[in-house]
Amino acid sequence: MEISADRDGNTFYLNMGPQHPSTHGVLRVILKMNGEYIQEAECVLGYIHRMHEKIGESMFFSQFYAYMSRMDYLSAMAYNHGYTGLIEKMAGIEPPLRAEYIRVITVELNRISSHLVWLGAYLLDLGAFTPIMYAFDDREMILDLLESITGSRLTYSYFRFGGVCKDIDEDFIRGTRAFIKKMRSRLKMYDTLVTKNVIFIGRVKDIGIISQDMARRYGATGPVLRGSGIEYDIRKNEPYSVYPEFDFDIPTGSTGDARDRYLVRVAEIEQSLRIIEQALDRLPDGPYRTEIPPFIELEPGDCYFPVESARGEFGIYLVSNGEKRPYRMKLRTPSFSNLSLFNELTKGYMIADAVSILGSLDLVIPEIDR
Amino acid sequence: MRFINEVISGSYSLIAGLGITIKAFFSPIATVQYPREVIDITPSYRGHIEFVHDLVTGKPKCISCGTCAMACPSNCITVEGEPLEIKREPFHATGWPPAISIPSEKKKAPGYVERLERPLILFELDFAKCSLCGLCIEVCPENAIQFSKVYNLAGYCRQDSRIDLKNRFEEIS
Amino acid sequence: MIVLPRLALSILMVLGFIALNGMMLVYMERKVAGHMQRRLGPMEVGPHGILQTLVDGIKLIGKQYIPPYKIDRPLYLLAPVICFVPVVLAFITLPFSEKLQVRDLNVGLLVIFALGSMTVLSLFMAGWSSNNKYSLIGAFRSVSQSLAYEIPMLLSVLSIVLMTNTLSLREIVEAQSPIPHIVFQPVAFLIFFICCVAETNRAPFDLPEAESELTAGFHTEYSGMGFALFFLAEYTNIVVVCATTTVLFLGGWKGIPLPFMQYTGVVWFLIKLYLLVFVMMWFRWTYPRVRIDQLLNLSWKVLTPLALINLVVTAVVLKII
Repeated sequence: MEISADRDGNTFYLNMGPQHPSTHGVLRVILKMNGEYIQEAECVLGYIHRMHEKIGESMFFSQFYAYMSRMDYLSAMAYNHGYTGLIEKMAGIEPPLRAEYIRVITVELNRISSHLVWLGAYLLDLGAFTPIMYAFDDREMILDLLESITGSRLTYSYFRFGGVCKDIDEDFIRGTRAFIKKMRSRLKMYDTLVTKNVIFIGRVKDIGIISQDMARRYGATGPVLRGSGIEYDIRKNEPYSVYPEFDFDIPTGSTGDARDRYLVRVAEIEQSLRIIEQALDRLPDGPYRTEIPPFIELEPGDCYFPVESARGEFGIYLVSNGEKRPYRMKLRTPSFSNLSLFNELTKGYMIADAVSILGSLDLVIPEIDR
Repeated sequence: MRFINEVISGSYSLIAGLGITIKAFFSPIATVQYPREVIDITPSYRGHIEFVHDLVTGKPKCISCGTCAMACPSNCITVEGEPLEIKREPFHATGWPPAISIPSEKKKAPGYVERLERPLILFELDFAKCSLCGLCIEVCPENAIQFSKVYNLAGYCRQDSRIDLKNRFEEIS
Repeated sequence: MIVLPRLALSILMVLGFIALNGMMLVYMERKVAGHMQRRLGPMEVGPHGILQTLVDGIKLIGKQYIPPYKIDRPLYLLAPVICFVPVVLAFITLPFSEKLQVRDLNVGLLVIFALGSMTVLSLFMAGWSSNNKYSLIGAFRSVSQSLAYEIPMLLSVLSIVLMTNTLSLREIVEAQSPIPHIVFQPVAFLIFFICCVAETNRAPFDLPEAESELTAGFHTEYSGMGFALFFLAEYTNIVVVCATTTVLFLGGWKGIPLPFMQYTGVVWFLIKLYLLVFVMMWFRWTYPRVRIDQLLNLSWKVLTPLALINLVVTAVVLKII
């Protein structure tokens, strides 16, 4: 038996990943362990690095759409929204109101589907096999709805500069309303099956506590930040699109442990349902798209446009020098900053807790490496 | 006392969880047995691109201008046409862009536009690279391409993913 | 009675039962899991996929033996065998019905527990010899888990032994003639059953093979026949513990009399047995996994004291009566 151990002989190194069931992708974590306890956790990135920023700099603006949805495949809509919003802001394009409403509806639907995947996958990490099937069952409804308007099920390229590429129809609206009704009843089911389960509570309560100070220090975003009690949501704090017109709350946690992050995400599903409901009620008539030439040019200048994706603040910083291609593009992705908490969070916890913490951060690896 | 309370509420939560799964055990299944049952795909489904059937001429509308190849983010379209020939056509008021309409030196007949037309030789799509963004369809000045409804696209080698749209069009029609 | 033919027949029947039961349980588990997750489970091989496990078994037998780098070869090869043999031996004394029993030993209960605690040895051997840290952690876990859960298990059984004054399984079944022991000993039944789940490494106590943490725990490096033996041993072990529970608490083969009750009692026995197996599967497909310290806490802080109290109360009550 050979174990690569430290010189003192008390610790050993354990490679979690790049192929490991609970890293959900090609994340590699080098754990320095003392028995079952973790002393040090070093994340190794770059296994799925695709140079999205550089690709963006070598492409026409409109060509980069398809790449946006490949970054975070679970909430592709929000990423499309970020890119569209940025270019529209820089080029001074006003999308029609109906398009903005459609965008909000689809983004929120996508947020729910992303949270559902996370819920299932998180429970899978904790060893419960069944919730993921129920979550995927519900998510299937969202995917069907989105497929009926976008034509794709996962990597949507639905938004266009100045609108969306296809109008929504009555069937979609009816289906969405039916989904909202069904989802509300399903949330009660998740509550009984998962949230109140004493084993689940034991696995997540007081695990991976992120203090407010720590969350600020690492630049945590999204539900991870809100889980530790900081009420910060781009949709409220730096409103974009038509979000100011809707009435919704920002759910926050109190202690910042894994359970709070779980509760925040589940509450966000409910808030997203509220937003969709309001948007459907107030959906204005009119054009869904303004005609913009496909190969636009931007004025020289720079701009940063953040949106709230399912994982937190996603922002693009773009510098244009007046050409058809961007001069510099910087993508700020939420999972990257959330992952940086991992080392400090897992110190002194067991490997089972590390899995629980990693799951509660809700990481999408292609988005970290991008 | 608190301990006993916890034990009781904990046991209750466990039993409630069992209730959920046993209910699912006796409820109808939610899956589709794929090769035997097939769900209808939505009308807006995005398969790989294909030529639009021109109702008037019965030929592809493609003028092999190459705009789609230029717009494609992943360079998966190859268009080849025969040498240019000038063709007079009724003027379309579509605005953007008659892709290779060249300002002619000669006097134009009013209401007509002179454009270059290149009969198509090859239109090849490398589907392995395609990300189905739909930009080629949006930029096409003639609306000559559309999404197909094909989803069973398996092949034995990389070459199998190269689809010659012209051949395919001829095979279908 | 002629000893040798009887022995040969018994061995044949037990091995046949184990193989058949292993296949059936895997199939049952997949179907139960499927329907609890609102899907169908295996459907392709045979009607309703009933031959799926057979095909899987053939595939496992046909697989290449791939030893990992720098293993402890004798231990690595021996571990699956050592895992499987004690489980088979436990069938010696399990009474399937009044006459369907290989041997009624007067220490039958002790034999079953003694053989049951052998399993942990093989798991540790497998984990240790695989030259894999995940396997090693799984092995550590399995040792601490089995040690922790054998104590409340035995304590809860002791109260039954106090009531019946025997360790012979047949006599224990005979003792619960009108009313099964579960009525008098619900707490002991609960403790015993929870310990059974933990002993067989089933969810929510499947820590030695927690696949989301340790990929596959102690059998990470096993493939082909080694894996198949572990798998078969696990499912046979489930039957053994469920059969023990049936014998101890649910009245064994007792039930509504059937013709040739001495033999057909096996029907009732199997019904009770598979009901318990179903409950175990039901647990597995409902609950998340507990953490190792919670697992040990549950055993040492809740189940052991509870079993002790139960034992004392039983003793006192029996003395008074």
